[in-house]
Amino acid sequence: MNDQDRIEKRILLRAPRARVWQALANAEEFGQWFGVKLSGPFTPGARLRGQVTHKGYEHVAFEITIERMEPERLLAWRGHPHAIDPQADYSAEPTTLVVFELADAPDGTLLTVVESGFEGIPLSRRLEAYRGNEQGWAMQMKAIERYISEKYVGEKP
Amino acid sequence: MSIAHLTRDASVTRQAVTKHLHVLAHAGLARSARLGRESVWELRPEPLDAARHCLDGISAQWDAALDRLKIFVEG
Repeated sequence: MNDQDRIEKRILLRAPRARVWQALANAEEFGQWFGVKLSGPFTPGARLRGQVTHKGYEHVAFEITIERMEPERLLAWRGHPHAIDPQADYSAEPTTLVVFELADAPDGTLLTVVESGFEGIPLSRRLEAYRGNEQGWAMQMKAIERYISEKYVGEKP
Repeated sequence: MSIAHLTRDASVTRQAVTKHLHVLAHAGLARSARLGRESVWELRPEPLDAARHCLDGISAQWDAALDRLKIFVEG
């Protein structure tokens, strides 16, 4: 299930590394493109909380712990992916690791983002669509149970 | 499928098969029901499909975020 364990993205940004680093490591700038309003600055070990600013997702809380920062080279954090249900407590679940890596490219900066550690996270439980499905399954199982018990009750071999 | 059926071609014991089935059931990937005196098991691929679907969604969110970053730093 290796392909299920990580997401990797690569993008060429036509801007110097220093500029890209600022957009990543400055919490306010980061928030502007990522779509989150954060509580404090990015420093190694810092636990940051914020509110998602995308329309329709304002109720979603965003929480990350900064793992590593190497200026103009690497930024890594841990967090709960797709934690969209405000009622749910995700704190007991494992986190994923998000690593941004910057490298020089002929026309700017090559940015690589890897999010890993999806194994062990009950992603399927996070899908609204799946919840409906789950109920469907529960009903179907009840129906099968009923069918089986009616069919076999009193029928002794 | 019944445990007897599942064990027939397996090189492991019935107990081992039962243990594995319960692990799969705990993960939501298999389900059992009583059929008379026997437990019958079935595969449930839905959670895997849902997990794949969820991962695709997260992947699309990254694409959108990085497009916004590109506009942000290049602008």
